Amino acid sequence: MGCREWETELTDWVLDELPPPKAQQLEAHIGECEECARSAQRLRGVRQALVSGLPNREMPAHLVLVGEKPQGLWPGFWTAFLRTAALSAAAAVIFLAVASVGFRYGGTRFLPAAARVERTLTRTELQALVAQALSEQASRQRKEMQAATMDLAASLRAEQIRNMDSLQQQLQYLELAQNTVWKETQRQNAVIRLVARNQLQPLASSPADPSRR
Amino acid sequence: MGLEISDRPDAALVRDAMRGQPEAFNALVRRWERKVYSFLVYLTGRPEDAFDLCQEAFLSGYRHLGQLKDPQKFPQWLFRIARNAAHSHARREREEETSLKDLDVPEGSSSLKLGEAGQWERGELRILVKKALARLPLEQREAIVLKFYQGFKLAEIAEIQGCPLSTAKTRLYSGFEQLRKFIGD
Repeated sequence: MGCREWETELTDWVLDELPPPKAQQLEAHIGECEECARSAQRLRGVRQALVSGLPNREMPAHLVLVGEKPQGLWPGFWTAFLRTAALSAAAAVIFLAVASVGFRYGGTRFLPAAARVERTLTRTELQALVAQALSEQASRQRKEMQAATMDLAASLRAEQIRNMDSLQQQLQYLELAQNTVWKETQRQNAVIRLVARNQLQPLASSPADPSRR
Repeated sequence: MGLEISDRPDAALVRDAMRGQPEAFNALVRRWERKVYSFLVYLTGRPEDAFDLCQEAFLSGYRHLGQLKDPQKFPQWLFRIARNAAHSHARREREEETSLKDLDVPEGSSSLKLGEAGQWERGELRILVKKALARLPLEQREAIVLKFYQGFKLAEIAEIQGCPLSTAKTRLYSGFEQLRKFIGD
């Protein structure tokens, strides 16, 4: 192809609309032809200016997201509340089950093994040993219970905060939707007023009624 | 292990959103809001209107997501909604007899040549491009922005503008030629 034929393909090439095999041929020609190389350079300059002159714009704020499926304010609140209550109940049941297993497990673990006793223990000594072991076990389990309770309280607080955030987002969404509706209503009212004004204006001059003489 | 939701492709997020997972649509909004907003700024020339229109476009997209037949074409579908919102807005403004003059380029002003000033400052270049775009008819401006800002192919531009491929090509090439003359050889 000569320069004249390639000229029509140059714009396609700059706009990335030339099929790859033809693009390769054109690029090979540009490498050999000064005139076409100059034309290509000019068009690429314009393209580069447009690409550089159209950057991403900064948004004033992020768009309001959809937190849950759009639902009313009170259903959303009660949904969150019931979910928190269900989580709390489940956590309490699990904790009680773990605590009761722990007591049963701990109750058999620290009893002194009969084989390790080197001399016969008196009844009083045995009772003291058992009491001490139980006391240590109870203390350990109290600490575990406190730690588990604090963890549970923290997770419930976090869940509550998440629910409040979700609720806030829904309120913002509702407020924005209301603003949008209000604006649209204002625009429609303006159109209605304009139409009403035009209809109420008296005609400048009425044509003569052709049925009258 | 599945991908993080923010890493999943658009088509997968669209399908999840259609199945009733709002966080999937949230991820799409986060991914595309700035692109759609910028597109609307370049179309309308007014950032405050562009923000409202962007919100409107995504709300409309959320409501009508079930009508998207091919999730792979979500970007074109979304830009088409945004474009339609901009056009409706422009029609409403004309009906209210509001002036839409953006940048009035004085008659007889010489075109600023890209080569004369050497290396353009970024701000100057943006002003130059903004002035150049404002001179184009809306459809040509759309085609230029869709091509050079978002990188859509001609067939996709035709789909977004709802016109035949030949019409989209005429708009794009005519717009580019106008810009080439204004920006300068």
